[in-house]
Amino acid sequence: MTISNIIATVLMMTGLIFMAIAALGIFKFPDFYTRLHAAGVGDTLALLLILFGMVVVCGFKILSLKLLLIFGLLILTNPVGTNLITMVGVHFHNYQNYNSKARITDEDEEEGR
Amino acid sequence: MQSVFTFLFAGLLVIAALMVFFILYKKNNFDRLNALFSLNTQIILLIITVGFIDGRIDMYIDIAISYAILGFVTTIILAKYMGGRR
Repeated sequence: MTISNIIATVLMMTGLIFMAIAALGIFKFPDFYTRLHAAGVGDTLALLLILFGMVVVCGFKILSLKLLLIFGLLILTNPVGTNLITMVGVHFHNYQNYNSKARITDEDEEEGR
Repeated sequence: MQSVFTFLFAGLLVIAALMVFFILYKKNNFDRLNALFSLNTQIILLIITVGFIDGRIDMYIDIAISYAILGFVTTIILAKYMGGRR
């Protein structure tokens, strides 16, 4: 094995370990919001490590650019989706009386637009 | 390098199967949505890994890009539908 393959193997195995830890957190954490924390943080870091390992395997090709495109897309959409699920859960369960604290009336919403 | 990708494929497949188990046997709807979003990420990585094992990565990478966009749109629409009108 060359030196780039060894670096790629270390990166991908570390990413797999982080993905397993995120899955364990989704299973074992006690609360809905802590489970969201485990999924959002752990999945994003595992994705970063595994895709960088694949880029190291590919080398300088157009294929690496496509892998980096997937990486950029997922690192934009993964926290946004987790934030969206969190806000939907907070609104639905009325977490820490959130809905009456941040009350936005219809007039304010129309003026904001 | 083939064996490394095979090991990665097996590990990701086990984690994805655990997520499917979690989706089937959990009662809370938002937990299911969270697990579905995590499963989306793992399926994208599984598609790319299958491409590396098979040797036709040029075809599988485009499928992975389109799956990433579609999975994000699916999660947004499901979250908006479950949460009701905000």
